[in-house]
Amino acid sequence: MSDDVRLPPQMRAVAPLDDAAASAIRARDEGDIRLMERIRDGDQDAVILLVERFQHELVGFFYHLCWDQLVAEELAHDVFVNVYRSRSRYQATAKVRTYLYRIAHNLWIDHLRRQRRHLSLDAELGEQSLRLVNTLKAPTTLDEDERGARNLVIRTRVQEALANLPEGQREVFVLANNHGMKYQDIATTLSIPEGTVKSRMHNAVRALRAELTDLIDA
Amino acid sequence: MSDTDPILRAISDGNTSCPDGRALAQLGELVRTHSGPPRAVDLVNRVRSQLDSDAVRIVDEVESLSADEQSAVDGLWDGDQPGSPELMRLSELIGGIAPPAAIDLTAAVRRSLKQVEAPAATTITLDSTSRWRMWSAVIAVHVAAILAITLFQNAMQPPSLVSAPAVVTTSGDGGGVGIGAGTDGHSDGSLRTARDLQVLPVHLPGQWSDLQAKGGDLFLLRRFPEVRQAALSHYGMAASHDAIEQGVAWLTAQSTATGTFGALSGAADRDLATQSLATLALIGEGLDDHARMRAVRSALGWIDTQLTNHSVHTDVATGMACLALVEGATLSGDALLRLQAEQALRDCDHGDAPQPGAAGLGGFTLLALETAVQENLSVPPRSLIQARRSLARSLPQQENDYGRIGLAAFARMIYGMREQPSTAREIHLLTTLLPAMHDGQSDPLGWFFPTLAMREAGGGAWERWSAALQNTLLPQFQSVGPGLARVHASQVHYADAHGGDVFATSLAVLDLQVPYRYVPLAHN
Repeated sequence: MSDDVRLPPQMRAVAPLDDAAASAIRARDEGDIRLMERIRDGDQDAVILLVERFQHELVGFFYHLCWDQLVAEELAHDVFVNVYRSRSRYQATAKVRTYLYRIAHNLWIDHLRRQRRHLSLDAELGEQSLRLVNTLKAPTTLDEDERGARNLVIRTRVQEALANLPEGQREVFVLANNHGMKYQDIATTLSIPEGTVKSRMHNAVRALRAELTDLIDA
Repeated sequence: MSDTDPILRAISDGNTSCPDGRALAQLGELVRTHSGPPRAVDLVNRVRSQLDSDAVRIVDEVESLSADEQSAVDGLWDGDQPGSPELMRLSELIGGIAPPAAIDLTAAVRRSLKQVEAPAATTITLDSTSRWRMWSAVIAVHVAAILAITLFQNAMQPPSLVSAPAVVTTSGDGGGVGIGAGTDGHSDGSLRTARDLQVLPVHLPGQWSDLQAKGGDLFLLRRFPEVRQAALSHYGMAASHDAIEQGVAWLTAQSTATGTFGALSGAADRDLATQSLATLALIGEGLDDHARMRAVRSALGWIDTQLTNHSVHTDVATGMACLALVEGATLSGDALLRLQAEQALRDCDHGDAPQPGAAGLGGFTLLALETAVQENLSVPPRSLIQARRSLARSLPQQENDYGRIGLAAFARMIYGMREQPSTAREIHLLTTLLPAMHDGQSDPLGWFFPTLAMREAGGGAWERWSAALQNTLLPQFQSVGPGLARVHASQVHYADAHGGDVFATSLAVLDLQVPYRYVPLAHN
């Protein structure tokens, strides 16, 4: 199998890539590079094609880091605008996908810095401050559907487990697991040595496994 | 430099030979006095403890997994090994859960790209003869400012409440709501009378922050009975008119000498919430009725006392109380009420970000803050920033909580984010959660913010929502005398036996008043 072609682990078992699919994806990568060259020449329609191609992936990337749809949309939007703004700096040596994730990573770091600046304003208390609902009777909608409630519990547990990871580990794990990126690409994207990617991944797996043991065993 | 520049010499040496030399010398002295070096800090311990924790972390990283486990992890995520069932399950669990909602960013990116391409603003370069032109410009600006202030002061003379019949007309989707008056009534030059509004067409704001710039009035539609009725008709809710009128009349009749509506339950939070909602329902009808105004004044006094005497209230009850005070102060123009409202808003500012909460109840705080901003009340900046940051978010994890979705959609609309794809998705989601009875009860508390959002959305979404709202709420109003109607507590979610009828009736009225509670926003 080609080094360039990857599926997230959980999808590989279901749909292993054959050579035809691999070459189709390689052709698409080459198409992406041509797209970037058009963008470098100032072609805005090419940016829109890039949006159509990568928007769901990038929104997913941000979403799995912050679990906030609006923030994810805004940051993904900014990735494409930044691609256009810095079009003159694009070198065709990097894979377009890695290039986009690199911009996405930088935007995420900026976002975190902004968040930290507002930290003193953001001592959020979750739902603790809304005790009136308890006074008035708790809402029942979620409890009515047992299965839905269980799914919600699982989702919340997974979200919390990911959110509890240190920032670097979370990003590495999301890129590897949810976006099928290899360690080498992750290292390029995050500008860190491949060994650091490995150790972050190991730590992330250990922490997640410990926190979600009951769900994994179920 | 200080040797040659008289200004710098004055600041650094106290030489007063230049114009304003004494003031500049004082400035220099002041800066020198108060700009000493930072206090000495010993960073050794801090750095050492950081190094220690890093060392722990590095050791921790190395020893986190056994060699076999490490190769299994690397094989699964970096190679193409199948991985152990446990690791595969972990991968599936995290990879398969909670994907973000599908959205289309193309339109938003296209708009941004156009802005990127827009030509940069021209920079004006001053040449050697430009000084006299600058002075001319300064004088011209001052003259213009004096003229503007004079016009503004004339415009803000106390309005006289004319009873000219008014009608609300529209000019297409988003074209704006124009308000005109009949031939009766008189004009006193105020911009706030119905007659003047006939002359000055209302330009709808794209977001609430545009209102002040456009000289708009957030409460315009509720100030005159004819306008309220016309707004109900315009939004297809004319059938609600009698229920609102009779509900408000019943609530007014419940007003007691102590300022409360009906008996209290004894639970401080619930009572504050119930009384605030009742007051808001009455204020929703403007203050053009003497009995109603008296009841509102009395109720606002009670609310202020509660906030002052009982410092511990939940955010939701306090948010409702603040909103009642802000709206009361704004509509009445009472200076004391303004001070009380500003104090209440300051008391809300305890450092914690407001949360949307179940049913979007945190939205009452948002409304109180934003309404206060529009009406030039003093608002704690921290609360405002927190509310704006926390409450206009989409809510992918609460897909059946119409209250939270409605709050998010409404907040994003008043902040000018109507065109965001996820706003449209939230509106669409609300059309799948139309008002209906559950277990023999309605939920007007949960429907308040969705109703506000759906009215801004307009079109088919609003038609479906408002029809369902009326079909559910109107049958719940029970006549209890001539011109009086109430909603019984047993029919409304969250209402209980103590003061429940006031709570239920107030919320039902609040939902039905949505067509005219706030000036609508322009579409596109």
